[in-house]
Amino acid sequence: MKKLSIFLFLFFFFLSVSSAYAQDFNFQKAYEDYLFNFNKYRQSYSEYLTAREAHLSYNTLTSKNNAQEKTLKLLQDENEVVRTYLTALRLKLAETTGISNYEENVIYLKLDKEVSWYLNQRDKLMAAINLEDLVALGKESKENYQATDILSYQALGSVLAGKEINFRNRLNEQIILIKEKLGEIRQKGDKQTVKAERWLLETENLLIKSQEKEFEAQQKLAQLKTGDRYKNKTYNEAQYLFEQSHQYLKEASNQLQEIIREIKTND
Amino acid sequence: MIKIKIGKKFLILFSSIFGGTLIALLAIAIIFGFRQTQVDLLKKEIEKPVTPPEITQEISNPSPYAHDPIILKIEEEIKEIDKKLQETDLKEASLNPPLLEMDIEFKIEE
Repeated sequence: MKKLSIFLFLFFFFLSVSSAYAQDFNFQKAYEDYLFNFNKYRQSYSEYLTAREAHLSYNTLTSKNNAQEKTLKLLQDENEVVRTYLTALRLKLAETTGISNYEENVIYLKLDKEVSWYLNQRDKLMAAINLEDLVALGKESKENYQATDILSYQALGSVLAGKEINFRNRLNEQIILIKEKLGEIRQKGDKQTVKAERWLLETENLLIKSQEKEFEAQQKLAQLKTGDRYKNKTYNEAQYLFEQSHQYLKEASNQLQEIIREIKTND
Repeated sequence: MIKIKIGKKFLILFSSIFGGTLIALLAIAIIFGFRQTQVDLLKKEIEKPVTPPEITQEISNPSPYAHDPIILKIEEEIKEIDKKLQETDLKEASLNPPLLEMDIEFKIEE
């Protein structure tokens, strides 16, 4: 009985600690984690370069052993950087409103699959016996990173699209409310509504244009392939389209303010 | 010989006056420049970031809906959206994929 109570106490203690940790772990913390690991990686890379240089110059057993140690550390830190980056990206997606549940789940699945690949790779690194094994594992990581890169850009695209969708939905809600009010005013007949209604149509067109630009951006990102050399260039082009989409939303917001002013002004 | 002596004296006098003036001017420039910087810094401290005044043009000829609670609520919401639209970071540059040096190679490049 005593053993059981101790067991139960420890079980609930760890459960509460882990759930508190999970609640606290947000995007900001994940991002800090990623930055910390990135700095560690830069340090490992510089140590790797020195060890590599020494091994290529002296080619002794000691230099080889040192090179193996530094390469292992570099690959482990690189692995950690990618995993923490993907985690930060996942949490960024989670806190971005506007992304559909379906799209969000699809990206989550892809991100989780990618993270598990890197976890598996981490185990392989631990099992590597010699420098040649590590070099081969490094090549595997490099090849896989092509896919990670694409997924990262697409996930970032979804974050930007989510922001735009959220703004558009909010503006659309206000358009619906204004339409309802204009209907009420038209029925009462104490103010002309033609001008405001015409302007409202123009505003709706701006929202459509914004959506078109956003689709264009998403399509651009969907076309990314592993063989593409300049993925960041494609991403920048997509980002420019998102900015254009955003500009239309700003114009729509300004027009809505003008419409309100028109409703508040007597004929 | 006398001429040379006068010349030397003149030269010493001239260079001491010229040098003194130059040092004095330099000192003035430094002191005033420093003070000016201090004043500028103080001004900067005093001057608070100027938020652009809200464009609230008075409606000279208000309609019956100028104070309608629904219209005012919509107006407030649109202003809020507009503010967020202006503030939104549409680059997310900090989340660009990390640049990694992934060429692990131990062969001497030829």
